Amino acid sequence: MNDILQSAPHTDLPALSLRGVSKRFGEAEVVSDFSLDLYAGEFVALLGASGSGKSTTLRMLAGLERPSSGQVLMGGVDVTDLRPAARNIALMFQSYALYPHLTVRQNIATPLRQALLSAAARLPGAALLSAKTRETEAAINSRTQSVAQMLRLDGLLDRKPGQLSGGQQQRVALARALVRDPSAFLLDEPLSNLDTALRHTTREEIRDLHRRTGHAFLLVTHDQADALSMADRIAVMIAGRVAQCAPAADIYHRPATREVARFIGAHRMNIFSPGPEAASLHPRGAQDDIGIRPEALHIDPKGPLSATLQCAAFHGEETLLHLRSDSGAELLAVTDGSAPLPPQGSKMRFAAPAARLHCFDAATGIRKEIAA
Amino acid sequence: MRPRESLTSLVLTAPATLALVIFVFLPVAVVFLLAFTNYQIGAPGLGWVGLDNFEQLFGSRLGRNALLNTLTYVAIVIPASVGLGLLVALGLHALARSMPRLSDVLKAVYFLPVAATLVAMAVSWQMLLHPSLGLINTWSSALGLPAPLWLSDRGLVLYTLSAIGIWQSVGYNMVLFLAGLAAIPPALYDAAEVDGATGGWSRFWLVTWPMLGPTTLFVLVVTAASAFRVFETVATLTKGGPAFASDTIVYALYREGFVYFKAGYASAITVVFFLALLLLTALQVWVIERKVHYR
Repeated sequence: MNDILQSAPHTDLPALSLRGVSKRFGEAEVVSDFSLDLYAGEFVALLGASGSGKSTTLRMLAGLERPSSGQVLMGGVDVTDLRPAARNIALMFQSYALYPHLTVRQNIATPLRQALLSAAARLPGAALLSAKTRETEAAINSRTQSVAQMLRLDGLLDRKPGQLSGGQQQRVALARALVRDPSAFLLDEPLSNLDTALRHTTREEIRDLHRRTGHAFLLVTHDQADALSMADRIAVMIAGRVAQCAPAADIYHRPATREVARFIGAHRMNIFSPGPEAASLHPRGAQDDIGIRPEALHIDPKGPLSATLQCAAFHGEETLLHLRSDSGAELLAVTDGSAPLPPQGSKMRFAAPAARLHCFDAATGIRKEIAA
Repeated sequence: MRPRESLTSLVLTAPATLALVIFVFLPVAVVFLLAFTNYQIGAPGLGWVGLDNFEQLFGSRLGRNALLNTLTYVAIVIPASVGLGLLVALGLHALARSMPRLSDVLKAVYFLPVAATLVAMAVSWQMLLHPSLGLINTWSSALGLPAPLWLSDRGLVLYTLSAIGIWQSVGYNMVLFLAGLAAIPPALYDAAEVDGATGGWSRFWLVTWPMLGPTTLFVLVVTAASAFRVFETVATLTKGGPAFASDTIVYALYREGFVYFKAGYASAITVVFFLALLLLTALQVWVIERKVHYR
C-alpha cells in the first residue's frame, strides 16, 4: 500500500501484451476477452482468487497454452503461435520445477545449453572434440557463474536441488529464469512455498532484482499482500476478466467495482445495501450500496452507525471487532489494540469520514464517485 | 513397551513366522546342505561329496551349455523387453491425450500376455509356430519367405524362445513405465518447454529419462529375475531340445531333480542360481540406486 513506484513513462511499444485473449476448455470459458499491456521495466501483478483464470493467462503469455481467440504481442510483434523458447520469456514456476537429477550449475545453464548448443554438442564429452563447443561451454559457464553470484548461489553450484532449502531452491529457479536475459519475466506464485519470515526478505529480493535487471516483470498471485507490496500496477482478475488494472493505491482507495472492493484489503470491506442505514452514512445510500473499510470505521459516541459488539479478536497492534448492525448486517471494524472496549453484547456507535466512503451501483456493482 | 504388549506382538507374529521358517528358511537350509551330497530322492542314505556337484555344473559340457543358454536368453530378453516396454509406454502415454479410448484398448492388449497363463499361451505358440501347419509359416511361405523350423532348429530355437519371453514381459514393463510416466510432474515438461527443450528427443533426455530412473531400475530387477527363471516355455515347447539347444538352468534343475531324482545335483544348481540372482539384484540396487534417486 505504501512505497508505490510510479510506472515509468511508456514511450515504446509494450514488451508484452494480450489483446482480447480468451481461453476455453471445452464449455468453460476460463479467460474472457483479456487485455493487458506490460511495458519494459514495469512490475505488474495479476491478482485473483484461485480459479479466476490467472494461471491460464500466465501460461498463455509464456506460450505454454494457446489462446482460443485473441493475440499475444511482444514489442508489437504477434507471437501467438510462437513456442515459449522462441518468445524468450522467462517463467518461474510455483513448484520451481527444478530438474532433480542436475546440479544447481546444470539447472541454471539448461536454457543456455538448449539455445546455444546442438543436440550433438550437448552430449557429454562433446567439448573434447570441438573447439567451438569448448568456447560456447566456457561462455555459458561464465554467464551461469555471474547469475549465480547475483543470487548468492556461488557456494551451492555443485549441489542437487534435493539438498537445498526451499528458499535456496527458489533462488535457483530465479537464476534459471534470468540466465537467458529474457525480454519479460513471469513469476507464478513465487512466494507461496516460503514461510512468513522468508517471504518478506524474498519480496525485497524480487523487487531489487526487478530494479537491477530492468526487465518487465509479471507476478501472478492470490496473495494481495504480495501484489500490493511488490507491483507498480495490479490487474485484479475476477472470473476470467480484468476487473480493474491500476496502481496499488488506486485499487485500494478507489476500487472500480464492488467485487474488487471486497477482494482487496486485509479485512473484507463492509457493504451496506441501499436503505436507511446506508442513507444515514451518505445520502446516496438511499438507492446505492455504500462501502466502508473496517479500518475506516472508528468508535464515535455521536456517530450515525449503531451496532452490537459480537466479539473482539485481539491481534496485538489492532483489535478486530465483529459487530451486528441494528438492521442485522454483519460488520467488521478495526480499532487500535490499546483502546478500551465495552463488554460483549453492548451497543456501540461508529462514524466514518466521508472521504473514505465508497459508493457502488446497487444493480451493476460499478463504482460511483461521490463528493467528499 | 510393557512385557504384556511384547507378548501379544509375539503371539500375533508367531504363526506367520513359524510358517516362514518351516516352509522357506528350513527348506533353503536343507537345499544348501544337500548341494554338497550325492543324495537321490528315495535313496536310503547319502554321502558327502564336497564340491563335486558344482564341478559337474561348471565343468561338464551339459552344465556349461545350460548356463550359456540362460545367459544368452537373458542378454536378449532384458534389453529388448525393457526397451520395448518403454517405447510402448511412451507411445501409449502420448496417445492417451489424443485418443484415450484406443490407448486404453491397446494397454489391455499389451497386458494380456502378462495376465494369461504362460503354459496355456505356449500351446497357442506351438500351433502358431508349427513348421507346416502353423500360421506363421503358412503366411511366410505364401509371401515367398523361407519357412524355418522355429522350435526344432538347433540354431534358432533359443531365439524363438527369447521372442516369446519378450512378448510375455513387455506388457508388464509397459504398465510399470506407464505408472512412472504418470508420476512425472507436468511442471517439469513446462519448464523444459520454456528452457527451449522443444523437440521430443531433448524433452526425453532432459525430463523423461532421468525422472524414470527409479522405475527403470525396478523394471530391470524384475525383468532380470523373471528372465533368469525361464522355465514354462522351455518345458512345454521344447523340453530343452533339440539336443539340449534350449536347455536352460532352471529346466536343467527340474530335469535333474524331478526326472532323474538327483536331489544333490539339483540342489547345487539351485544354490548357484540363488546366489547369482541375489548378487545381480544387490549389484543393481547398490550401483544404480545411488544414481536414480538424485540425493
